[in-house]
Amino acid sequence: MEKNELLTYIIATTAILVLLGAFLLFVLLWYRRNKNQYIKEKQHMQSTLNQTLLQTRLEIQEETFKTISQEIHDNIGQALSFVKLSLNMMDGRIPPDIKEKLTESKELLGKTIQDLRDIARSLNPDFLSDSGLYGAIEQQLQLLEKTGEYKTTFNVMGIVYKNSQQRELVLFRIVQELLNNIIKHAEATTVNVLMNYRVDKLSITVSDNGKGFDTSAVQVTEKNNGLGMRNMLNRMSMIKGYITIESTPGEGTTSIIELPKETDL
Amino acid sequence: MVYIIIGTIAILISFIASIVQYKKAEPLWLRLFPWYLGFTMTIQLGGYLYSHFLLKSNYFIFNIQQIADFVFWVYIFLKIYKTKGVKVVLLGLAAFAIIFSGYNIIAGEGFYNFNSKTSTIISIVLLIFSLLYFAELFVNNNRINYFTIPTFWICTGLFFFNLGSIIYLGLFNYITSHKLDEDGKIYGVIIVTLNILMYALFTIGFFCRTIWKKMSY
Repeated sequence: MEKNELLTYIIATTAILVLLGAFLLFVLLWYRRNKNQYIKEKQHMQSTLNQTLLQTRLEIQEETFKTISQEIHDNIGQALSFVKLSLNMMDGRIPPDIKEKLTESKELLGKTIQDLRDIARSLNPDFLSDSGLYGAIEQQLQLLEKTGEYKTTFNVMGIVYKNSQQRELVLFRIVQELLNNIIKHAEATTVNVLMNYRVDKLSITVSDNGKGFDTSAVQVTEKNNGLGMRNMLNRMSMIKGYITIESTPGEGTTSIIELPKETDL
Repeated sequence: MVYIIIGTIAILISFIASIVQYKKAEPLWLRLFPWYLGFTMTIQLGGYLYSHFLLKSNYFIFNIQQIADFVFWVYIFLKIYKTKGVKVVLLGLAAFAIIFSGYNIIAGEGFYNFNSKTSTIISIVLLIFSLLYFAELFVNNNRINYFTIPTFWICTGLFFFNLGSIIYLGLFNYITSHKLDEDGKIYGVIIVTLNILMYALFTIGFFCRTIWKKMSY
């Protein structure tokens, strides 16, 4: 074989190898492009399915709340009112030593009836359309105040606008969940809620002066049982909003809910 | 001489790029590249100057450099691979190549001749390393944009360099003993072209996140 011929072979083989390598990479990139597309579609389908499931779950939950609310109002409430009426009728016919006890019982019964009405109201989704979001939240705070264990402040900033019924309901339930968490775990004495209607979004800040917690530790736990915080995150993602919870042990908790305006989505 | 200059410029650009991106380097092993490229550039220039001024063969310098270079890549691939099995394969192949290199220096082609067989073995092993990396990417079930991954560019550069140089380096001793490429032109064209390609891909790898971000906005 001649010298030049051999060199030509070397160069040609080298060029062929490099081209083969380029082809291999092209196949890899092409395959990955298709796979990425497939993964994207799969993730989209999964996310749609999750959203639908979550929405269905929330609808069922709201229906259940509504039924419970009606039951409390129509049956338990009515029954208790009847008991109160009967007690009132007994008023003149009882000995004086029992009268005091009866008065106490009537007061207690009156309070129970009022509490049940409040609970029935807050469970009923129609309550939100009657009072509006900030009215509903304000009433929740008033309920807290009534217990005598909390001092609450409620502030609204900006020009109030209405979100869709579903979004407001989800927001309201999340605020309720946050307030419930404060009652159950925070050992707080003050609760502050600030609603800020900005041009591009509505932000609701719920803060307390309670014992706080380690957010990282809670996230791990919640991941496992799929409740509480994770539930709130899922609900927020369903209405395309965000929730941030900041807390330090001993320094209270601040939760910030942000919901972009529907027109900006 | 012109090939040396062009080759050095290619490394120099990549070297500067790796220094510029040093603090932003992610993953962290990318921070080894300024040192690696600086070392490579010094050896290339040192080897050239040694043979040019002392009129002696510089093969022994490159015999040592290719082993050091290989050890560097073994470390990098150990960091890159995610699968344990692949890491075991890597270590097995690396051990084989290093033992072979030692044997070749002691009982084979010797210290002062260019270790063409070692070079070929190392090239093949590095090619396998690159292919194993591509295989890991191939089977990955996450959404990946290769163009944003520095490792992808670096492995691609290494892959092309070894693929292109394997024939010439494998036949190096045959070519030199038969004086097939006396003026080193073919060597210059092949190796310098591959060097430019490899270092250009490395440079893209150092900057790829920034470039991709700009393209996305």
